[in-house]
Amino acid sequence: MKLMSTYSVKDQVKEWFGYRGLYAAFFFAPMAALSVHFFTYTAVPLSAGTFYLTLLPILLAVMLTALLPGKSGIYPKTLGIYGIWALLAYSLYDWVRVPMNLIFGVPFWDHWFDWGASAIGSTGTLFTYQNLTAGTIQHILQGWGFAMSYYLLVRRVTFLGATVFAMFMTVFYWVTFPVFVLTDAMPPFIWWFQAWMAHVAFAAGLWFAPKVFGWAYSKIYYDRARRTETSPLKGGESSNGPLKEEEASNYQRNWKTTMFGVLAANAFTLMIGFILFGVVVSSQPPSIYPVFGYGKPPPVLIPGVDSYYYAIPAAVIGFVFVYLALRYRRVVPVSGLKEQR
Amino acid sequence: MRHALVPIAIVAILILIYIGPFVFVFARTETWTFPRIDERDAGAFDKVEPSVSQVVNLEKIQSVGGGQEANYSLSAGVLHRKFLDWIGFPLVLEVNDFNFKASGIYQGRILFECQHFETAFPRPTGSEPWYIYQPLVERNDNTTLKVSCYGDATAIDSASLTGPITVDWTMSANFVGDRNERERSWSNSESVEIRDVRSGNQEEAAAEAL
Repeated sequence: MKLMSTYSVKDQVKEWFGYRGLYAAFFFAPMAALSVHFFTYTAVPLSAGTFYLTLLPILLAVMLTALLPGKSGIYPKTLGIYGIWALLAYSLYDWVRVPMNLIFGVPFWDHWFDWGASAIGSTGTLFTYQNLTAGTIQHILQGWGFAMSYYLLVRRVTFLGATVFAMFMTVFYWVTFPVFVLTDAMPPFIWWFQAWMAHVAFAAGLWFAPKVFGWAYSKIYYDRARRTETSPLKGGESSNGPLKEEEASNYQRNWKTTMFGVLAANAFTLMIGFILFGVVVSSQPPSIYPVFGYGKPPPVLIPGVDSYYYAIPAAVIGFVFVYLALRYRRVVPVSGLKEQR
Repeated sequence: MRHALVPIAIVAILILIYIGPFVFVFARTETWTFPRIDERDAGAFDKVEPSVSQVVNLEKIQSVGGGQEANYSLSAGVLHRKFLDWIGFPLVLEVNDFNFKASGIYQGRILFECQHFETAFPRPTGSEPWYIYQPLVERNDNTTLKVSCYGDATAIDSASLTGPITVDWTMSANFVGDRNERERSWSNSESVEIRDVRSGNQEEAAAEAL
């Protein structure tokens, strides 16, 4: 059974360049502040970046929700719901990095000291709990802002959409850190792998948050009072946000499409990763230091075999998954899916 | 009762999920990061060595206040400033308040005295791109300064210019690592030779050096 969705790709792209895109850009602000800090080789301190490029855009976004009710589709309550959802993704992002530290010794909080010192303007040693605390808050703000951007950008939270967004983040991470951040200049393979893995967890968090909070709301409000009126979600809203009923009810992506789409996104990310790895490795003088963790050498560096070559099979695999995703692309109603199960 | 516990359990689990990684980071910082930094700092402080040149250059003799003053120079500094920090990243020890004093003695007579204070030694800032940073680390691993010394020119004779003289020196500096700092001082007495590099004697000195 094939149905036309009321929510086409064209509509989505139009919205991205409209209010949703604007709001997403505003909430991307914490990462914009960090990017400017990095791109200027720390000449712009994070304190200035946080004030001008984070506080002001987010203040503007909050004011716009009052000025543009109804047109933007984003209300103060929407921001509140997204704000709570957005806490989960970066938490999972950090959780998966914990075993990587314990097993391989990859430190994922080394920059938090730098960020904290730059944010609060401390002098002397970087390695203080004050700097770590300030840097941790910066990190939380960046992860939260990224997740907010995603929820504001998309009308419906899907695992495929979350994966594509997280893969964009991965590439952004892969480019920014080795090129502009000194201590990440020659990262070993484990660093690249961890960046990808953590962003996959981030995507899972983006996708899972509406579900877990929807479930939690229903447990807290529905089970206790047995009355729907006490739910924070009004009629017409789903756990995926304040969607119109007709938009929310008849759209569910086939699980095979999702799976192949997610695999394709990962394959293309891998392709970009191999290219970037090649660029970074060949553009920098070889490091004589075992930077990071326990100094594991990058295993994809095989003499005579450039990492660019690995990009080719990754691209081929990506196109195969795109073909399979398109082949199984079907839009079926939620009820139809339940029947199929 | 069951329904009352569910919200509490949900909130508790969410709080654990949210703060768990940060509890880990702070605990790991206390038990791994800081001890590792302290260990590497201590290693770097222990590894650093003083350096005083084995040759003192006689640069010129000039009239000062009716007398004759001889100007000498020697190089002094510290070696092996480079060390790896807690993530294996190469750093250069910060050297502040470098103080060097020396006396050149020949047969019980003081030929010259030197005193030099340097506020801070050069080092990379840590904000450079890698291709600039890495050569700077190598360049600043061993840092020596040209120290000027002065003495009575009448104390020099042909014997002191050919035979070895003794230099008694003391050196102190404040070394700053990633998280710690340590004051280190050294003193020694060693034989050096004086090389006359005044104009007219430079070619001869260069030939000797070869």
